[in-house]
Amino acid sequence: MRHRFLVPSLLLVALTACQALAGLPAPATPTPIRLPMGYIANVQFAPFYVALEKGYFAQEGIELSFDYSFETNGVQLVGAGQLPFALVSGEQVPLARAQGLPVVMIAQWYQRYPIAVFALAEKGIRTPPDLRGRKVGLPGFFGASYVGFKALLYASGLRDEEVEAVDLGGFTQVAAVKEGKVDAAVGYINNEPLVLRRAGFAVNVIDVADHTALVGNGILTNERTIRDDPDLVRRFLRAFLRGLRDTLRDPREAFEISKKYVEGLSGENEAAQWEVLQATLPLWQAEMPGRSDLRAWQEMVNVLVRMGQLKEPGDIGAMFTNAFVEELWPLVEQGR
Amino acid sequence: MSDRPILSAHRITHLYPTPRGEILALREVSLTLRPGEFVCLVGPSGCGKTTLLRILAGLLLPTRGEVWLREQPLRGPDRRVGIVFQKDSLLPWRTAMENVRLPLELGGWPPLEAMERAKELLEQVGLKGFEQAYPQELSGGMQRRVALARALAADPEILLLDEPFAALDAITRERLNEALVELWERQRKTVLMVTHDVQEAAWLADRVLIMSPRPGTIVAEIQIPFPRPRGADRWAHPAFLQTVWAIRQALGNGGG
Amino acid sequence: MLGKAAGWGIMGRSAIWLPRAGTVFLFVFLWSLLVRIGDYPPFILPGPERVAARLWALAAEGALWRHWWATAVEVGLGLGLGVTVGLALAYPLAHWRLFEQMMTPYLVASQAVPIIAVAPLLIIWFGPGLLARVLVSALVAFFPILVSAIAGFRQVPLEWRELFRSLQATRWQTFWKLEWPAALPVIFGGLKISATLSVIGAFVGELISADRGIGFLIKQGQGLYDTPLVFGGILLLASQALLLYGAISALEHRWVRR
Repeated sequence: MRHRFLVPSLLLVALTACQALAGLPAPATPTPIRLPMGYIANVQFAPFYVALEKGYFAQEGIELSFDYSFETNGVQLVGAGQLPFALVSGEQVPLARAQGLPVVMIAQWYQRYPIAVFALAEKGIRTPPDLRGRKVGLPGFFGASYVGFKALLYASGLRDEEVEAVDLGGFTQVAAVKEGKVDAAVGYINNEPLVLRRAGFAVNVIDVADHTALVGNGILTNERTIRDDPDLVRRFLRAFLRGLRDTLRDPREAFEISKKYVEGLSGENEAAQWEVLQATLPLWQAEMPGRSDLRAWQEMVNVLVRMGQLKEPGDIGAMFTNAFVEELWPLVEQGR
Repeated sequence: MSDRPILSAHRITHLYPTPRGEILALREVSLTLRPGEFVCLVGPSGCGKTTLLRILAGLLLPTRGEVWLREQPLRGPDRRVGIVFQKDSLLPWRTAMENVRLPLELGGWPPLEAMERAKELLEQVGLKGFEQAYPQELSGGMQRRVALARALAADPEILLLDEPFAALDAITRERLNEALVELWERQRKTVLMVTHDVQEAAWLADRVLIMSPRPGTIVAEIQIPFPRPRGADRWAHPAFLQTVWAIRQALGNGGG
Repeated sequence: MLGKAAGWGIMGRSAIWLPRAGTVFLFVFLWSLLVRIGDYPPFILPGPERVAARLWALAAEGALWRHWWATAVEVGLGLGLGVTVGLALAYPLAHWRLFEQMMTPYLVASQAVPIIAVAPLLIIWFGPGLLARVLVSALVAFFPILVSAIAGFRQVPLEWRELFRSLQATRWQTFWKLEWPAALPVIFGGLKISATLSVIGAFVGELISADRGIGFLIKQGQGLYDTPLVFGGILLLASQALLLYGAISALEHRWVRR
C-alpha cells in the first residue's frame, strides 16, 4: 500500500528521461489523477472546470477526474498515499497531522474562511453577542461549520455554554431556520444565506472571516509526493492557478464553462447560481491567490486546541507550504 | 342404559373441493351411538373415517346431512364430544400435567382444582410420577396416554378416537387398549373408535361398523355378543374367532 | 432430569467458554500480527493495544460509559418499539389475507428505503432528540420480527388448531395458549436479527444527529482522523450486539421448548 506511489513515480522519472531525449513538450502517457472534491458538483469549483476545459491540465500531462465524496475520505486517501491531491478545508490539516497523517496544504485557495452564521432578520441577530442564549443549528459537530462557529464565539469572547449548538444531522440549515426550529444556523456564506434571500426572506449574516482569520479550503497533498515528485505538484498547481486566474478575470466565461460540469446551472436556477459564483469570488481574491498566512494557521490551531479537538498545537510550519505558489503565481499571472 | 341415541348421523354426504374438481368422500352415512356403548368403525384406509369423525366432532360441516347430539343438531364443536387425534397433538411447551390441564384451563376451572383433576387423570392412565415430564421426554405410548387423559379431562359424554394407537408397536398397543377398556368400564363414556385392525375392533367393541372404500358409506354392522371382561383367553373361544372372520368378510365384500 | 440439567450446566460452562476465549485470543493475535507484519500506521490500521489504550483513556475521562449507555438506551427503546409494532402487525397480517395484501407492498417498500437517506428526514420531522434516533432504530428492527412472527403464527399445525376448536377455546385463549407459544421459537429467530439490526439503527441515528452515543464517538473519530477511536467504537457497538444476543438466547433457553 505504501509503495503504490513509488512505482508510478519511477515510471514517471523514466518517462521524463525519455522525453528529454526525444525533446517532446509533454509526456506521451498522461498521469491520471482522481481529485476528491469534498462536496457535490458545484459552480464553486469553476477554476477546475475552466482549467480542464481550456486544456491546462492536459498540457501538464494530467488526466483529471473529479470525485465528489466526503472531505474526511479525501484527507485519509491522501494521508495514506492512495491519492496525491484532495480539496479540503484548512482545519482538517492539523487534525489529520495530529493523528500521524503526513498531509500538507500546498495552496490556500479560499483566502477567507467561507463560514457564516445567518438568521432571519426578525430574530435581530446582527453581531456575535446577539447569539447569547440562542439556539444555533449546525449540520453536525464536525468540519468547517463547527470550527468556524466556535472560532467566532471565542473571537467574540463568548463561552461554549452561552450559545446552544444544535446538531441538525445534515445540511438542513435553511429548512431549520425557515421553520424556526433554531434561531440561527451556520453555513457557507456563498450558499445557505443566498438560498434564504432568494426565497424572499430578509437575512442577517455574521461573517466569521470578519472576526477571525482561519484557513479556508485549499489543495492538500502528502509529504511523500512533495519529496518524491515535486514536479507533479508543480504541474498540478500550475494548471489550477491558471484556471483560478481565468475565473477571477472573466467570471462570466467561467460560469458558462461550468454549465458543462454542473447540473442545473442553466434555466430557472441560472440567476441563483450566478449569484453564488459572484459571492464566492471575493473569498478567493488576494494579492497572491493561494498563499497561506502563518497567523491564520496559528489562530486556527489555537481554536482547535480550545475546542478540545487538538491536544497540542503541533508543528504549524509543517502544515502548509507557500513555496510552490510563490514560485508559480508570478509566472501564471504574467500569462505563462 | 337408555336406548335413546346420544349421537346420531343422518345421511351424511361430504364433498372435498380439489383443484381437479370435487371428490366424494362420504356418501349417505348414517349411524347411531347409544349411551355407554363402545363402537368401532372399521374400514380400509382412505375411506373417509377421519372425515366422518371430524364431522361427528363438529369440526367439519358436512355437505349434506345432519348430526344430532341428543335432541339437538350439532352446529360446531361441543364440550360434550371429546376427540383424540390420530397424529400426536400434545403441546411441546407444556408438561404432561399442563397438557392434561389444558381443557380445564380453557373451560375456566380454578387452577388448583384443575391441577388436582389433571393429576388424578394421569394416575388413571398409569402416568403417576410423570406429571412434570415434557412430551418429548415420554415414549410414544406414554404420549398417547397423556392425549387420552387430556380428552377425558373435560369429562365429555362421548369420546371419539381416531386410530389413537396406530403408530405404536403391537405390545404397547395391546397395553393401551387394555387401559382404554378399563377406563371405559369405570367411566362408561360412549366411545366411537376408528381403527383398521379387525381383531382390535372385535376385542374392544360392543358393535362394529364397517365402511366401504371411498366414497365411504356404512356397509355392515356386526354385534359382538362376546361377554366382558374379555381377557387374553378370548383367543381360545371359537365365537371370537368367528366374529373376527365375519368382520373380515364384511370388509372384503364392501371392498368389492 | 434435574441432575442431568445441572450436569450440563457445569459441563457446558467450561465446554463453551474455553473455545470462546480461545477464538477471542486468536482474533486479537491475528489482528496484532497483521498490524506488525504490514507495519501500518495507526490511522490506517491501529493495533489492538492502541485501540485498548484509546478506550481506556475514554473510560478514564468517564466518557466511555456515558456514550455506551446513551446508545444502549436508544437500542433498548428502538428494539422495544420495533418488536411491539412488528408483533402487533404480524397477528392480523398472518390471519387476514386482505389486510396482508393491502399492507405488504408498504412493508416491503419500507425495507427497501435506505435508512441513511430517511434518517435525516426523521430528524427534521421529530427534532434532533432521542425520539428520532429511537425511531430509526425501530424502523430497521421491526421487519425481521414481523416476518418471523407472521411465519410463526401461520405454521401452527392444523391438529393443534382443531384441538383448540374442539375445546371451544376463545380467540384470546387460542392466541395466548396456542399461537403465541407455538410461534415463539420462530419469533426468537427473528428477534435475534432484530436485536443486532436495532444496534445498527441506533448507530445510524447517532451518525446523523447526536451529541453522545457510540455513533457520535465513531463520527468524532472519523472527523478527527482518530482511527483507534473508530475501532474502539466498533468494538463497543459489537459489545452491545453481543450482550443483547446473549440475553435473548438466555430468554429463549428459558421459554422455548421444542
